[in-house]
Amino acid sequence: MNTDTVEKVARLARITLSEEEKKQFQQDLTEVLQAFSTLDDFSGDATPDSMDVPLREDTPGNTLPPEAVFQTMHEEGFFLGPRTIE
Amino acid sequence: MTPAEVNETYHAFTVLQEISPTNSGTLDGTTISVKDNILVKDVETTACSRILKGYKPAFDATAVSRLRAAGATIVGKTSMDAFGFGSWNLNPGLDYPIPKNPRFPGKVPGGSSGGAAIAAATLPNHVALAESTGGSIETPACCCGVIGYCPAYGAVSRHGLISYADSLDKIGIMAQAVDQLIPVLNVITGPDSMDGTTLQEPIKLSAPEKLRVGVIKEGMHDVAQEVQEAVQASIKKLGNSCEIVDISLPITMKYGVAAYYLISTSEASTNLARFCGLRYGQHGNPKHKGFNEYFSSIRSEHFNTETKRRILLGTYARMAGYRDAYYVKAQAVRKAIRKEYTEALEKVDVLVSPTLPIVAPDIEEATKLTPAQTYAMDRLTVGPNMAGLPHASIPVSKQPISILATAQTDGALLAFLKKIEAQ
Repeated sequence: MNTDTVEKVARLARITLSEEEKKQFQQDLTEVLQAFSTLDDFSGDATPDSMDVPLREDTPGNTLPPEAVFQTMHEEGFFLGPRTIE
Repeated sequence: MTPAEVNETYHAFTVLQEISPTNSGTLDGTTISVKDNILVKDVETTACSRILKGYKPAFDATAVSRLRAAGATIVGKTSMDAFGFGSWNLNPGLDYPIPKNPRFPGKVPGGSSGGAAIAAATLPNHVALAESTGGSIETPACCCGVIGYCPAYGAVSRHGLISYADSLDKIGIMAQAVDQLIPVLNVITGPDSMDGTTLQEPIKLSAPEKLRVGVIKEGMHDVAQEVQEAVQASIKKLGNSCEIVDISLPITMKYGVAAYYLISTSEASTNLARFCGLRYGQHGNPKHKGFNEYFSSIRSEHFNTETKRRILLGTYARMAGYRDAYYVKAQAVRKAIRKEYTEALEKVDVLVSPTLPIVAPDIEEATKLTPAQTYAMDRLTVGPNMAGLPHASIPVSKQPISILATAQTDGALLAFLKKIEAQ
């Protein structure tokens, strides 16, 4: 993995890396992916595993009171976020 | 020792707070600690990451509410590698201290549930609630010399668990004695309408008269000599009451670590997208920044190094152009691993190997390992986690060395643990 790829992946993951971190992660991830290249030898059934998760009925029920759900709001009645319109 | 003394000496807790039971029941008099990625209503819950500092959940996790309703008293939240990302508990979040091993000073406490293992090792009549994704109960149990028990995937509801990797996360327990496990398992297992993946059948506690024990051949290769000797000596003692055979799990042992890390980090990289300074925990001043700049600044400032590393790995494994080679391939391997375990457990009742391939390392030794070397240390624990089967780690030496046992049923697993405990 080269530094450009590390930068691209970090940008997608919304993480800003220092120059030192870029160098470190480039080295670490290259070594990790090298170790994981053992998967190239796997010649078994290539169908991925699937896990069927049953979904519950979408029906009204007892839920948390709104004041409990919204207790993590940073200002009363609002979650604060960045501007979307300048 | 009291929880406060344990915390002062070993930094086992992120929060020390006694929370009363909501009812009386089978767990009256039992104290429980809760790993910090499991929600306890109104008690700060951070998965030991600075990005969640200040987050107080509005509800108890299902496992917690069931324990409280059965008479258990909660004593606090325990330390862990942030979000479960670590094998030694050397990666707690920024500003959190590294916990210390109470039984083997200087050794790592093991991770990611290091605080839970310390609580189980030091507190009287105590059961620690923990969680395993790829070995996070078994490894710290081994390092701290206690029993770590991980029920099957879906046996315990994940409602109220901060997700690392949804298809692998399992809530389990740690204690000093096998008899402490059963009353707690009876309380926390069972269907939950809040988690569609919970198993509908109750756990099976019956066991065969004579256990057939399969020793995983590849699990005894490339293992430290002390570990091999201690595990073999323990298995030899079982010879009188169990049938012992060799079993081969070549796919699991060759590809397990790679498949596990690619799947778990892929899931983690999406799960952790929610931590961006809006809904939970830390937030900044968003008034003068665009969305991307704001999210990135919060995540970059408050995630620790290992969290960033795993998010990057998982994001990469899912990217267009790499997805088939990594994520899809890993899922195919996982399917083969599940088949391998199913077939093996048609021949035997319990599969065994060491928990760790080495004696639990000193902190200094563990710090020198590269990420790839550290991940490779999970090679014996990732199998049962990927197969979603009940498994447990139990000490077999005066050193931090344990046997890892996997079974189709909890009954067979508990019967095996009782035999080892009696040695």
